[in-house]
Amino acid sequence: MTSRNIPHLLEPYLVIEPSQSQSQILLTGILGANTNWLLLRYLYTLLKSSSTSRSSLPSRPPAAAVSQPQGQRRLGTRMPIAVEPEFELRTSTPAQQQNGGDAGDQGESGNESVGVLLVSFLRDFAFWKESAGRLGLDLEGLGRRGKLGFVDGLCVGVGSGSDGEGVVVGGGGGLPVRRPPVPLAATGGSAGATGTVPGRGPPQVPRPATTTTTTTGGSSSQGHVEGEKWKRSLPSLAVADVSKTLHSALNELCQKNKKVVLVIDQLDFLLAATSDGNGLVSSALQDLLLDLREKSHATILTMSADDPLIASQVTTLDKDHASFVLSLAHEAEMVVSLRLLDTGIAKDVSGVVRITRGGDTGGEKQIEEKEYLYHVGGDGGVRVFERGQ
Amino acid sequence: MAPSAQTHHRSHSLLLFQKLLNLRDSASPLTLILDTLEQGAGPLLQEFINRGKLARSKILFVSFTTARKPRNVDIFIKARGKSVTALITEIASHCAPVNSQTPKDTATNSQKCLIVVDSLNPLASKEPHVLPLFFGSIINPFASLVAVYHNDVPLVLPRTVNEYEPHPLTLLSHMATAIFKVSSLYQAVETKRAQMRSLREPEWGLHEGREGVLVGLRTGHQPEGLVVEMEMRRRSGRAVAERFILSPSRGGAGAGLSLLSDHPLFAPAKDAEGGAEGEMADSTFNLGLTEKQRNDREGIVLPYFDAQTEVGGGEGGRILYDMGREDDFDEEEDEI
Repeated sequence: MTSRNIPHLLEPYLVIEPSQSQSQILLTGILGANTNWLLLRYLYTLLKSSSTSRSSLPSRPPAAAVSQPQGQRRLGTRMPIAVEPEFELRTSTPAQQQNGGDAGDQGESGNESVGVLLVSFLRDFAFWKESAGRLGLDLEGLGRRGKLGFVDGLCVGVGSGSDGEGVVVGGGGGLPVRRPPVPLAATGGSAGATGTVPGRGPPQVPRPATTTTTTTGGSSSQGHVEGEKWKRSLPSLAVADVSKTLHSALNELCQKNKKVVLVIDQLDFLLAATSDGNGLVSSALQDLLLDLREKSHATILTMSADDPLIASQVTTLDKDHASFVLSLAHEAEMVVSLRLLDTGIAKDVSGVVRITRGGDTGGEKQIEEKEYLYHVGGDGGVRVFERGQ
Repeated sequence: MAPSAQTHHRSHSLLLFQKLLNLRDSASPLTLILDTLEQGAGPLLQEFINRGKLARSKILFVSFTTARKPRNVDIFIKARGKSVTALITEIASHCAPVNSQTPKDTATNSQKCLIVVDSLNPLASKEPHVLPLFFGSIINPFASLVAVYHNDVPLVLPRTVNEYEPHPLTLLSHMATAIFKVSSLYQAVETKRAQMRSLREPEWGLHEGREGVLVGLRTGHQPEGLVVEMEMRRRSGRAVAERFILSPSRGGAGAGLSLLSDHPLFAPAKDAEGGAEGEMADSTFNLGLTEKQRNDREGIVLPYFDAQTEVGGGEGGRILYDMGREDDFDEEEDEI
């Protein structure tokens, strides 16, 4: 079962240290070597302490007991970091057992631990919930306890009326929600309403359309009824709307947690979908990211770095994308690139993960640059190993 | 003779580099730093800032893309989302020379300003036309600007820009009074090694030819340092070019500066050149001159001068040479 846990070789890179405040981590992938598994490992590392400290601690003893000592033994540098969550775990558990309730939970451990705002543009919440569930991470539960915020960028405009109200209430800003300013938002809205959401999703989403529609429909309606404000969807893809939604979601999480890590999956999709070819959307998004970075502890972004998008730089879309991704790489403290094996396809190797520093050298964390091979198994388990191992 | 000229050139280049880093006597009002993902401008910028701090300059950091305030920076200005005119006003308000005083006072008392711009790319892509205005309005005799441009980030120019207009980078390199191009020492060393073995030069990062790779990998223990290619334009228009190694400081000490040609790996080429100029070691006879021979040669009065002194006579054209002891007189040759 070791494959389900965090790969040991990656462990030092998954941890975000306190000294890395306002840092940015860029994960890039290409077609065939996507970043989902890596992002899930980041989510798991960020959220596991708050997850294990609650009900899942007794139910999942092997993971907690086995994975952490291993991490300590193999990587001496991780010692202080590895101790921290456990220490927090010990201190917070009795209080939670006494309180038992969600509200008490937030009050006690909320100051110590990390909250995560997950913004996903190509995948819906069901996907993340399922994948994280395999790692033993209960996203729903974390969301209800205020550890997690989710912004759905896939089902744009679905139930935008109700969710829009939710956003306004949550953020406290009385600005009117712009309904369909971008044509794409309107089509996205209608598509989502008629249940053809997977049309906008990539082929990597292997679930049948029925689950997608039922889950998203259920979450947006139920979420509103039950007051699950941690799940939001974007009213439209216009940068102003995205900005408003993300800011309010981040503010809310910041109130409950001391540190909030912003995780944005495939923000480049938003750029490709809405770019006007003038570079304005790109610069607006970069400004937005900087604004969000100032509020959050760290930012983790995933982007596509396929050759047609980065290297060719012929069309405006290419240039826009290349300029966006490379600028963000310049601002990033660490760049983790996934790619396919250079020598072709292998049965037991899915691809190569390369960890390098980014353009931001101001941070204190020294990044040891490495290149490993990885293999994603059929059950979602990931093995990371050196060449020749 | 040759070694002393080399030493002179060396110390002259290093002094010039230091002068530029210190921005003394407004050595360069607009310094442009070109960097790539392989080697960011961070260490060089920090060196500018540290030196500015030591010189008690006021350091303004204009941030287009930076979230964290760097060390030793006095004023951190967020430039994003602001119009250029608003930005100019804000910068000018911080570093304007005190106008109320007499000109004499300002010349002596005014604090120098170092303005650092972390990335010119957003400005160059959004409003390429305002770059000259931007520089013109914030640079004055007391304020020098150091600006970074990411060379590997393509610019998406607005449609209003005519395709026949010069690229903003061209414009920038024309306006800059000094250009520093940074690259990684490790990569320079590896390239040099490949050259010396006549191998194909390795490439890194975006040029690596591997799909999905953005940044080159640095493995093992590597020399900390970056190669800085300096191009300094004098007022006359003449450019002075030199390559340096900047080793970032550890702790409180200042960064180490040296010429790239002083690096052991880059030195041999220089030595081979020097050898060619000097004595040929492998010949069986000596082509050089002894001290006496040189003196004798200098003592010769050439016929042109001889003709000038002896006016009239018309007997110019002789070579006056006093024979020495070691000269053997050849009768046959002198008969003519």
